[in-house]
Amino acid sequence: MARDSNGPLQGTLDVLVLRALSLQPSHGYGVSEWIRTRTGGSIVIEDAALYKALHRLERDGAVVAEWGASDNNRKARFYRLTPAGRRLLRAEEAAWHDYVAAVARVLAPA
Amino acid sequence: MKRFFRFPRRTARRIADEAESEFRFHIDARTDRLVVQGMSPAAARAQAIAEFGDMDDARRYVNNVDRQAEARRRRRDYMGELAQDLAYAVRKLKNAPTFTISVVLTLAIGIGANTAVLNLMNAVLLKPPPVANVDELSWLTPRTRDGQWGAWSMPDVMMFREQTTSWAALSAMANITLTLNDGEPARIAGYAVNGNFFELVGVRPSPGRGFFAYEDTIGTPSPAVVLSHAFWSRRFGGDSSVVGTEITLNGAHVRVVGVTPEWYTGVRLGDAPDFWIPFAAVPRLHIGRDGLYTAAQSRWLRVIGRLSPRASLAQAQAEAAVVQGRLEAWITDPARRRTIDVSRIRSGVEPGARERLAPVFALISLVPVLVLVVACANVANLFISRSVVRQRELAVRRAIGASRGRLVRQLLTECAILGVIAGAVGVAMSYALTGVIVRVGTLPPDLVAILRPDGRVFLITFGIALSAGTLFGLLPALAATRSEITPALRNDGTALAPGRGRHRLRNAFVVSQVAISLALLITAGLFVGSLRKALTVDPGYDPHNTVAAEYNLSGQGYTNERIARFDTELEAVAAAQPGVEAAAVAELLPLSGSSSSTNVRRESDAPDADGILTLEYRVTSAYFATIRMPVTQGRTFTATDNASSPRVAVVNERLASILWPGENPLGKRIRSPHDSTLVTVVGVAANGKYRSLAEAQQLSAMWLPSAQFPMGAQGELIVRARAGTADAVAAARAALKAMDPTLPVASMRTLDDYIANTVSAQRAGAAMLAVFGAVALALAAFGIFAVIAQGVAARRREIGIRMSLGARTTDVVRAFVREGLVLTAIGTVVGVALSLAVSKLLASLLFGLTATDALTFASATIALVAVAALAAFLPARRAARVDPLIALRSD
Repeated sequence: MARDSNGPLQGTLDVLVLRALSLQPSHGYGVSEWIRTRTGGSIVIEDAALYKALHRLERDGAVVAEWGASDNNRKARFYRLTPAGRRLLRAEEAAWHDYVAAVARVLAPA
Repeated sequence: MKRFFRFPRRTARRIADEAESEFRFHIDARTDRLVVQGMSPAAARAQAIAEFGDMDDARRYVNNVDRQAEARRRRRDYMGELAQDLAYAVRKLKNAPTFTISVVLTLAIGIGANTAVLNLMNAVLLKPPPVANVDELSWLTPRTRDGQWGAWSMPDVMMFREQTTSWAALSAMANITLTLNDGEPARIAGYAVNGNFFELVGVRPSPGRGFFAYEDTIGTPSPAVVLSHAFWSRRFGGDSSVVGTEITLNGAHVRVVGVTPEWYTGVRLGDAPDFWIPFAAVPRLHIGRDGLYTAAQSRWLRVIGRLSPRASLAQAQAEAAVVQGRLEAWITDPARRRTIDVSRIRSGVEPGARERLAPVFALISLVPVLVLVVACANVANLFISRSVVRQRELAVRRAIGASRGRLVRQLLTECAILGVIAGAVGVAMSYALTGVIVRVGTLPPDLVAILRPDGRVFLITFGIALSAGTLFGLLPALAATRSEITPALRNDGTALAPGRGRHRLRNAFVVSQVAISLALLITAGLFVGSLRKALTVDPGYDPHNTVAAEYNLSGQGYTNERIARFDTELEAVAAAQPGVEAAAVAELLPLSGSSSSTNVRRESDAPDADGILTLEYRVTSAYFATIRMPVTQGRTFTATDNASSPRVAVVNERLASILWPGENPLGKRIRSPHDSTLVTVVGVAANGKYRSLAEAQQLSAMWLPSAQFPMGAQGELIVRARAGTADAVAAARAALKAMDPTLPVASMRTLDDYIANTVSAQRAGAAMLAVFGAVALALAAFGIFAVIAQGVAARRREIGIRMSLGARTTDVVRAFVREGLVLTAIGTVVGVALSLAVSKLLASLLFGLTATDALTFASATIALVAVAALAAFLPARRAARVDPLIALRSD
């Protein structure tokens, strides 16, 4: 999957998307708004990258997609976490915390 | 996760459309949101698009990923369905054991027969001998203009070795038989070869070594021999200390220098040599007449060569042809010059034998193919019956949504499973059949050893099994899935009756089965008849109560004078044994597989005239009386025809009529082919068979008294007993023992055996045809049985109605039998036509029988019709047992 590699940022995006979907199934726009709200706009993610991540996760079996109706009754593609996706989220969360801890240790005043 | 439904398949187009609407929804939703927050619609849309980023890139990426996902899903669906199909098929086949076993056995018979024959062909024609880089090896063989394959003399071989550059190495080879004098004397068979032979074939003897060059130079002081692994193990118990010691062969001391590896069994199939010895050592062994090594006329050698890496086969052929031209430049008549054949070694069978065997094998391989066709027709019939039974099941599955493709795949899976099982059983059957062929055909052990099926044969067999199973199972299945759903679901019996079209298909299968089995039966009958006829042919003498014992004096250390006297003395000693009517000695026997020919010229012919090619037999004086060969004019040899009296000969009627047409041959003189002295004809013998009982042309032959034309070291003692062969065997053994107790007897056979041996190939062919014919007949009978039984089962209702309306049971039975016989009759007509066509091709292989022998045709047809009638009657009888009330109530 070398083609998809965006360094640690890609992992970040995946974990954000999985986290958003772990609360409830949602369409891509919903995930985008959730991230915007939760981060207070401090992390700006291009929607293009978001959709790439969603489809990649779908291909790899972490999420499944189905067409459904949005709040204002328009056709939208809804994503839902699979059990595999849930496992992936737990693993990614753990990895993220380790990473943050490691960076924090490096940055801590000696 | 197990899914019982399937996501609809997404095309590339659909994937692209979906991504497009997904993105559009996102832009719209974001725009709405920004408008709510107070932006103008145009500015909001612009910002939404800006926030999205590179949409083209996302589109490309997403489409790509989705297509990958779709492919993965399809693969998973397919595997899931395959597993379902397999499980379902196994369940279905288990629930119909009769059907399954019938199909598997029928197919397995066809496949087993084909595998066995294919295997034999593979071993004989395609398996290369065990040597290094076999594609560089070739045979050099002379051929006459009319296609006869010949042999070389030693001077020829020297020319080829000296004057060609296309070969890295060339070696002559000759079969020789020697006596091992140490311990219990034994006759052993092997090859004389040139010193470079083992390097040439790429075999390194171990323990020990191959030959050194000096061991193959004329007059070498140290004759050497290499033993085969088999002989070394048998005779010396695999003791390596034998290497380096001397053994005594034909009275000469020869040093064992090496033993070939176990895997090396020679370059020719059917040989199993005991030893290899350099040509230079052979003169010490005193085999055969003098001049075997030097005379240009003693052509007894075959030549094997390894091509040099720089030369192509075509170059080598051209170069050899030039040398051959030089060799025969002295022959003025171009039609008498020989051509040269250079062919690669492709199997243990040389080009000449290959040429003879290939058409025979083509014919032989046709037979199991026909059996397979009959078997496939049966399988198709079984599948049709089954598809009738399963029609309702298939209709139900279609009604609840299975696609036709899915049903076909399901049925295909069943066919494939049956095919694979049948293939496995077929391979097992082919082993059994190969065993039968080995026994009936008395194949040589090295051929038997390579008869194990190899990968190629295995693949072909499974290919046949799978395609036969699939094709013949699928055709009827396709017909079944095409049928309308509703009538099949209707709960009346009528839908179960086979449709008209299907009925016609089944009938066609039965007709073709009957036709093919009849053709096989007739062909088998023709072969058996021809064989029987061949065995009743008069060979020109009386072979009963007579045995021939082969002996060889070359290992006894006799002087030439002693050898020359031996036959006359042996004749007298044997004649004096109890129970003996007559005894004689001959150098060669007619119909023994070996013969010797010379060119005979009249006294009046020019010395360089070509003469008449004539078989030459050197015999003692009692020969004609012993084998009871009639002498129609003049006299036979007597004791007065000795070395000091004028030379005499007996000729056969054929030779007399060619040399002196219309004249009295007695007293005429011919020129001795050996030393050009004149020989007087004193008797004329009746014509006979000399090379084969089936020989079409009458050959010329002459007999010379051994007292005037010495025989050499090898001979046959012929003893005729007054009654039975047991006395003859005992007398022959006693006589040889009395002459020399250390003399090994190579073989002892009755003359009847010799004659039976000349037709062993025909016998094997007839046996095989008869077996396959019987198998085909059994399959055809089974086919008829199945069709009638199915008809009875499907028409129970109709039978019930007829019987309740007053039809008698015999009428009903007769109606069904008639149906079977009508099919048989049509098949018979086709089969007879087919046999007439095929037997025209066989005419050359049939002896003393026309290819349209009426008796054979009639008896095969009667046998077939009788079996067919029985096969139709058995199931038809069941119709009579139908109880009208139950039949009407059924369904």
